Amino acid sequence: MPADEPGPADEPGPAEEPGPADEPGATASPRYHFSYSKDSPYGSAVGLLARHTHVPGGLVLDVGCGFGAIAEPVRELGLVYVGLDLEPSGLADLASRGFESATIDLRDDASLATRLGDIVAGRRLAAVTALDVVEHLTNGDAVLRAIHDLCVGHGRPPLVVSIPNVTHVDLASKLLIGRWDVTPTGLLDETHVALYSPERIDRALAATGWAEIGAADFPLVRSDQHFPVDAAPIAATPLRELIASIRERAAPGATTNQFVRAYAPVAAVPGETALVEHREPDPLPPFLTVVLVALDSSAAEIDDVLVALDAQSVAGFELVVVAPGPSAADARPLEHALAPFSAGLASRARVVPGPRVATAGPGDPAGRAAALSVGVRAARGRFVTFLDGRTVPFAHFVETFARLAEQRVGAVLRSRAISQTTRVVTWPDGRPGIEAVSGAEPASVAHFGLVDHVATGGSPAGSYAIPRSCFVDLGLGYEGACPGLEEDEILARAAMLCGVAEDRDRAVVLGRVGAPDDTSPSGGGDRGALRTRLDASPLLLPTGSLAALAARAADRDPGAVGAVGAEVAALREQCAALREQCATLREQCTALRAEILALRASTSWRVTSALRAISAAVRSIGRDRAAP
Amino acid sequence: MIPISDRMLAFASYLRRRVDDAGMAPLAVLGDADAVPHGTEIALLPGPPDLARLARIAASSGLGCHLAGPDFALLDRLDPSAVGGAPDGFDVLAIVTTYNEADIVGGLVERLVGDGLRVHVVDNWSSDATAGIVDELSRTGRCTSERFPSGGPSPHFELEALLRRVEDIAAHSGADWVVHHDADEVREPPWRGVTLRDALYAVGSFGFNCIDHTVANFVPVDDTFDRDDDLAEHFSYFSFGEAPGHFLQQKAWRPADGPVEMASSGGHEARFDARRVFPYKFLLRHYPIRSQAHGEQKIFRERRARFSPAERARGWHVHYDEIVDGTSFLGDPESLHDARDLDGALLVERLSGAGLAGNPFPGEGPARAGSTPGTERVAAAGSERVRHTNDTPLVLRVQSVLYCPPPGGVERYLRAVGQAVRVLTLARPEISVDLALADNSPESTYDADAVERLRWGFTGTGLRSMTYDHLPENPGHGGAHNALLASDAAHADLVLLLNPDTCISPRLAVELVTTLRDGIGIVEARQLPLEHQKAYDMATGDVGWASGACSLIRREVFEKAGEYDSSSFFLYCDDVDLSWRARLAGFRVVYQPAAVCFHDKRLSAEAAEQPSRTEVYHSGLARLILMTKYSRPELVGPQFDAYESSPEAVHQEIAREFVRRRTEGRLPAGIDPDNVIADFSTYSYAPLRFDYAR
Repeated sequence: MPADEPGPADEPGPAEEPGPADEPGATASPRYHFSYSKDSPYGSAVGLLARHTHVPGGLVLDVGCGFGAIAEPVRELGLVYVGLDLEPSGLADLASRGFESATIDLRDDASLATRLGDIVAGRRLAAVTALDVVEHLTNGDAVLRAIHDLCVGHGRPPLVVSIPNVTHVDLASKLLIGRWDVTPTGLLDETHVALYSPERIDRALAATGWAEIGAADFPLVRSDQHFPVDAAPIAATPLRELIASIRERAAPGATTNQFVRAYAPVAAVPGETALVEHREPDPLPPFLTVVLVALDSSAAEIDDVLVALDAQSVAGFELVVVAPGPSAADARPLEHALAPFSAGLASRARVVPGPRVATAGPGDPAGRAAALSVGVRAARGRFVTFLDGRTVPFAHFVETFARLAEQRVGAVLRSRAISQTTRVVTWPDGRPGIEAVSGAEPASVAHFGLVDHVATGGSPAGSYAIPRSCFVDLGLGYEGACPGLEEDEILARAAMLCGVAEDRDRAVVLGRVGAPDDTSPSGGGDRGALRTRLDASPLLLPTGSLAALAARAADRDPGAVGAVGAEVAALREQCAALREQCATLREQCTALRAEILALRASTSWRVTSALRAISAAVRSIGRDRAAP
Repeated sequence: MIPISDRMLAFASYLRRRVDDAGMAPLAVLGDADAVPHGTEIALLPGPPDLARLARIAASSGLGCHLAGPDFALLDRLDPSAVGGAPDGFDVLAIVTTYNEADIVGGLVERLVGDGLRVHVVDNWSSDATAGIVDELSRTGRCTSERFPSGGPSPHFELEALLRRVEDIAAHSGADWVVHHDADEVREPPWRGVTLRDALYAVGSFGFNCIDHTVANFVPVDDTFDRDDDLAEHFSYFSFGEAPGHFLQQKAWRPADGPVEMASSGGHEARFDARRVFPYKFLLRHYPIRSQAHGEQKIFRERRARFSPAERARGWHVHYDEIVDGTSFLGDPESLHDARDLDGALLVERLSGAGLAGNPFPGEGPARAGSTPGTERVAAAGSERVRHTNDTPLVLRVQSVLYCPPPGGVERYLRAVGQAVRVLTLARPEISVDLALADNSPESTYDADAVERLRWGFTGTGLRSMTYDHLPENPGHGGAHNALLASDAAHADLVLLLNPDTCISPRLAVELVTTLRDGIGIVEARQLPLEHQKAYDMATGDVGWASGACSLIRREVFEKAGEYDSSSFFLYCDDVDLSWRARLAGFRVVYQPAAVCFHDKRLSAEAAEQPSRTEVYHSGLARLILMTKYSRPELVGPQFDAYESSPEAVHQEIAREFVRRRTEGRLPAGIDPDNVIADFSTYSYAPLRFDYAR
C-alpha cells in the first residue's frame, strides 16, 4: 500500500489495526483506508490518467480499489469511476460516496476478463487502474493478462499501475546490517507476496502485453523503512553516502518509493515469463572484450593494431571496433581492414557504428568518450579493455589479463605500458604511414595507488581491463563528464570498488606517442577537476592503504629514506627467491605440457573439447620461444 | 582426426572463395568438433556423413543439410523446399543460340517449355533444317525466334557480336531470370527433384543473382542417337571440362540487377556490378557430339571453317585444334565417368569443379603437393580469371626454421601465413605458394599425423604444398635455410624467409611481392610491436641490410651472391652477411614499412630487452666473424680484446671460440676489401634512426 504515510520515528510500533493478514485477492482493509493527496502515488496515478485517457465520460475501472481514494479526482476529470474489489467495506464506503462499485475476485483469473466485460456492459472504457494491487497477488501475471484482454476488446484504453519498489536505497542499507523489517503497510507490507524491482516491473508488464507510455514514479528520499535513524547505513554518515552513491549510479530507482506507470495494451513479448526472474547469463561470454576506437587513428595505425591482436597468444577475446562515425561508410574501411584476417580474428570481431556526436575536431575528448561508451555497450566479455591506433599490444596482452583474472576474481586487471615516440611520415612508396623515432620508455607507474593515480595518472589506456560488471551492474560509464581524464576517473572508481590485480613485471602494451612536431591529439585534462569529482563522495580505500599513505608521508621525510631503502632491499631479496621458485615451477610446467600434448592426442580430450572452451580463455599458454 | 583429401581441401577452397565473394559469413570446415561458429551460413563436414551427428549440429546451429555425398555433407540455410515452388508469374527466359542443331533443337525447346521456361532462339543462319524447325515452333507459340545477324549470314562465326545480341535481348527481356543456353545443353540444379525454374526462384530468394556451372561433356559410345531422343536419357558417359573456361560458366542471371556484360569473356562470365554468385554450381550437361557422323560433320565441315580469324587470335575457338581427320568421336566407357555418379561420388566436382584437372583457381585444382606449377598455371594464364594480369607464373616459397617451438606458437605463425597466402593468391593468381619448414629441434616436433593436421589448417588458403623436414643435426639457422633451398624441386622464384615466432599481416606477402621490382634483391618488412631501429632512405626505401626474421628474397640473389654462410654463422648476422653480399652483387636491399610482421618480442615493465645467454654468445661471436669476413682487422682486435677482458663468462667464451676457429682455419676469407658495403658504425651494422639501448 502506498508508503507515503509518515513512517514510524524509530522502530515500527504495532500497526494501528493489526488484524489478520488479508485474504489474497481481497485488498480492501480498513488499514488501507488512505485519503487522496495530490502529492502522493495516488496523485501521480491521477496525473497519468489525465494525460493518457482520451474518452470523455468513459469508465475508469479501479481494480482492487479498496476505499477508492482516487474516486473523486477521477470524477473531476470528467470520467466515470467504478470501484472493484472483493472486500465489502470499501465498496460500501464508495457506494455511500455515490460511486458505482462491483465485487470481483482477482483469484478467479480465468473468468476475470469476462467479469470485467460484464461490468463495462457496453459502455466506453477510458482506463483501468490497479494501484497497489499486483504485489498482493500470486497470480499477478494472469490478472494483468485478463485486464489486457479486456482493454484490447474495448478500444485499447491505458492501464495505470502503482507498485512499491523494494530496491529503495533504505532497504539496501538495512540489509547491510541484517535487517528486514516487515511492517503492516509500506514497502515491506506484511501482505506483499510479490516484490518488484524496476526490471521486474518492465518484464512483468511486457510479458502480459503492456507497453509503457508514461511514468510518474513517486520519489521518497526517506521511505517508511528509514529506520533505525541512528544506524550508520541509514543516518547521514559517510557509510550511507557511499551506499547511496553506489546504488544511485548502479540503476534507477534508488529513492523511488512507488512506481507509478501508464501502459498501453500491445502484443505480449513472447518467451517472457511475467513474475519469475530468469535473467539468462551469456552462456559463453568471451573472457575479454577489446574495444578498438578507430576515431583519430589512421588506417596504417589500425592495421598495426589488428595484426598485433591477431598475434595474441590466447584467443579468448572478442574485438569490438568502434567506427569513427555512425554511417555504413564509416564502418566499411574497417570491415575491409578486418576481412583478410580470415583465420580467426575476423570471426571474433565486430565493427559497430560510431557515435553521432559533433566533435571539435581530432582529439576532442567528447568524441572519444562517446566512442568508448559505444564500445562498452557492444561488449560481451567479462572484462573490457580499450585500445586505439596508438596502442599496440604485445603478444601476451590478453594472456596476461587472463592470468590476472584467475588470480583475483572481479578485480580490475592491470599490467604495464611502455611508450615509444612515433611520427607521421610518408613511406617510400608514397603512402602515409608512421615510424618510430625513439626507443621505448616505461609509461606506467609500478603500482596502482588511488592518490597517485588521481594526481598523476600512470595507467595508460590498454594497460588495464575493467570488469564489465562495473558498467552493467554498477552503472559506470563514459559520459564525457571529465574531459580528457574520464578514463582515469572510471579506472579510479572501478579500482576503488573492485580492487586491482596487478602484473608489475612485464609491459603488455606499447603506447605510440606523437613526436613534438606531430599534430596528433594528446590527452590533457584538468586533474583538479578529476579530484573534485571523485571527492564528491566517500572513497573506498583497499586494505593496507593506511600503511601506504603513511609510507608516502614518510617518503617526504628525508630521514625515512634509509628505512625505505632497507625495505626495498628486503623486497628485492624476496623477489629473487620468488624467481627461483618460478624457475622450478616452469620446469614442472614443461613436464606437464608434455603430458598435456599426449592427452590431447587421446580420444577423451577430443570428446570433451567443447567443455573446455569456456575455461580455455583464461588458461595461460606458455610463452612463445623465439626460434633462431 | 578425419583425414582430409586434396579433393576436399580443393572443395573447401572453392566454397571459401564463393562465400567471401558473396559477402557471406566465413565458411566453417568442421573436423572433429561439432561447434559451428555463430553466424555461419555454410559449413562443410568432410568425411562420410553421420546422420546423428548432422542432426545434432543442425539442431544447435539452425542450419540444415540439403546436399551430401558419400564423403561429405554441407550444412546451410539454402533450402529450396522451404522457399516453395516458383509462383505463376515468375518468368525465366532461355536464350538459345543455334547453328545446325536440327537433331536436337526441337526436343530442347519442348523440354524447356515443359519446364515452364520462356524460350527465345537466336539462330546463326543454320544451313540445315534448324531454322525451319524453329520457325514452326515459333508459329505454334512454343517460342520466339530471330536470325542473327539480321542482315544475313556473315562469312565467319562472330561469337562476340552474337553475345552482344544476347546481352541486349537479356537486358530488354523483362524476365526475372535469363538463362544463356546453347542448343546442345541440359541444365540441372544441385538439388534432386527440384526443377530448373523452381531452383532459379529459390536462388533468387536466397539473395543471389548469378549462377555458375560445372561442365560435363557427354560422349557418344555408339552411333544409336536418333533425332530428338532425350539427351539426358540417351548419353550416360562423360568427362569433365578441363579447359580454363570450363571453370567459369556464369550463364544464368537476374537481368534486373544490372546490365550484364558477357561478350568480353567469350560468354563464360556474366559480369555486372551487383553480381552475387550462388555458392553451389549448377550442372551443365553438354552434348556437343552425338555420333561419329555428327562429329565429323560438325567439326570438319561446319565449325572449323566458320571460326573468325580475329577471334582465334584472341585464343577463342581453339578447342577443336587438336582433332585431326580420322579421329574417333566415340568414347570408351571405361575411361569416362558414369553420369549416375554426378549425384554421388562426383558431387563435389559437380558442385564446385574442385580437384578437376585444368581448374585454374588457386587451391581448387588437383593434388597440390608435387604438382608442377608451370603447366597448369600456363594453361590458367589464358583463362578469364587471370586475364587482367600479364604476369608470368611465379612460385613463392615461404621458408621457416623451427627450434623447439612452444605448444601453440607455431600454429599462430601458420595461421597467419595461411591468411597471407590466401590474400596473395587471390590478388595475384599467377603466383603459386609453397611452404617449407625445417625443424632443428633435437626431437622431431611433428609426426606425419601432426603435419597432416597443420596442412588441414591451410584449407582454402590456396597454399599449394607444405613440407616439413626434421634436421636433427641442427645445421643452424642459415644451414637449415640452405637445406630447404636445396630441396626446392620447384625452384621458387621468390623466397620469403620468416621466423616462426612471427605473425604476419594478411597483406604482408602482397606488399613484399609488389615491392620486389627490377634491381631489388631483398625486401624487408616492418616489424611490430618494436620496429627495427635501422635507418632507411625515406625516398627509395634502401636499407643497409634486411632482417632474416621476415624478408622476401629473389632467387637470383642466392644464385649470384651465394646462399647463407652457415659455416661462419650459426645464429645471428647471417642475414646481415647475405644482405651485404647481395648488395655487392649489385642487388638493392629495401625496406617496405607497409608490409607488417608482428615479431613476438617482449619487454620488461622497464622497457628493457632481456637477451638470453645464447643470444649474447652467438651475436657476439657473429660480430667478430662478420668483421673478419668484411676485411676489418682493425675492428676485430679491439672487439676481441673487449670480450677477452670482460668479466662476463659468456664474453670470455666468445673470445675462446674465436681463437679456436682462427687456429683451426675456420674463419671466412675476407671480402669487400675496400669497405664499400659493410657498416660497423653501430652495433646494428647500419646507421640508426633511434636506439633501444638506453
